[in-house]
Amino acid sequence: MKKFTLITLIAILGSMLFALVDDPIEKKVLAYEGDPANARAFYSAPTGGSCNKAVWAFDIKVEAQIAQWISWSIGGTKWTWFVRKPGEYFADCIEFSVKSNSDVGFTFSEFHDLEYTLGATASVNPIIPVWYNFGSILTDVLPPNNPNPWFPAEELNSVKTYIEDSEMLHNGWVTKLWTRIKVVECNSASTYRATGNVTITLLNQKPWIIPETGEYVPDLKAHVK
Amino acid sequence: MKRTMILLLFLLVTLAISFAQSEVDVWQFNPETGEWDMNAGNARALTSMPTQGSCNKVNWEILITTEAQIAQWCKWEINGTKWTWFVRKPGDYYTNSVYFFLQSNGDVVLSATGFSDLEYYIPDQGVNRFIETYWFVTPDPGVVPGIDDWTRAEEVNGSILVEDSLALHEGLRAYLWNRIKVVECNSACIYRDSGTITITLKNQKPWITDDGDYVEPLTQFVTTLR
Repeated sequence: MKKFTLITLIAILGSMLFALVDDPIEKKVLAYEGDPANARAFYSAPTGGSCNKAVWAFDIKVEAQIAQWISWSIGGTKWTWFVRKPGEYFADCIEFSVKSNSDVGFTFSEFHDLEYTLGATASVNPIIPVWYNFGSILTDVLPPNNPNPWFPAEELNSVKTYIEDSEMLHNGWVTKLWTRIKVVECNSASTYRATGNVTITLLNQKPWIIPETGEYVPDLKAHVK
Repeated sequence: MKRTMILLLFLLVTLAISFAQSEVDVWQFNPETGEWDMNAGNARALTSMPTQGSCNKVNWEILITTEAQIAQWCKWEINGTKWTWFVRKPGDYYTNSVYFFLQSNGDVVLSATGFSDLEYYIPDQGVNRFIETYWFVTPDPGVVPGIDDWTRAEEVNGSILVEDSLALHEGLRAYLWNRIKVVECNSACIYRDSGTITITLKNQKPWITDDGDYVEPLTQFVTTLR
């Protein structure tokens, strides 16, 4: 009984000691290229040996957990139309580019037709319908044979789409946003406006990134396995 | 001091980038050909307020705004701007109407000036140098003016406001009647009067010149309003 208690105690103390020694240690990161602040490194899982054994083998592991990053830009977030006469018009595009190392999602909200800015009662027809489209070249969107559909503003809100991880996305995926309006004779002279919201979501972000800021979580070493 | 200058410069550059504008091509649908005509001139579009992001943040929100500034347009037609009477004998005559059409997407003021009785066209001659002239306007092509419905030429001068309305957007029609009273004292000759009707668009945009062209550069009218 005494012997058993002693063995148990040694086992507990041994595992505590091991856990203490395996505390990951952060090391300074240097960079030949890029900003060293964009990577952090820990070492862990120490091991050792001390006896007369002829051959010793131990594993060396290097693990890199790569967060999802994104770099995006849009050539403009506002279209301003100056319309002299009624008609149906569409405009050349705003260029949108996105570069990421994994799936990127897109959702749309609050898109609606243009509304008279002075209130609904001030215009004979206070609404101007608006459509949106995506396409790299004119023939993608030029009616009537356009392969890419024009989305009425409100329908855009139900669109959920994503770009899959691919070499093209890593190198930079580029498209253009197009807008189309239909001005009728009942639209009084004035300004009509609508603002919508595009949300870009990184779909494979690592748990050690704070979603709201993109910074490291405070306890990064908890993610060393 | 140097630091303040650098900061100021940085702020200016940032502001300039955030307000960068560029004009883009516009296609207009041509209902007659069924084709889309490029840069036909009736609408122009500019993009502005570029933005970008680069880091590991999971969600990014981008505001996209489309704004259409609609100028006031006007379409009008009158199927005659001159009446020529050939009168053989004195009498009180009136004539069938001239058609006037007016269509616009904002308030329009119609002003009449210079209307008066017909006057003997050679100065200082004629027993009675004037022929009484009257006008009558009606929106109803079926209406024939009664004897008391007429307005004497000089009383026509003045302005009326045609307010923005569905009827104006669809097009208003008016029929102008003309009446002259030729008396025995009117010598044989030619009598004439010319008045002017001025159509003024009251809600025109500041980016339209008085001739109806675009003011340049158009970029000055792009705002940061969302």
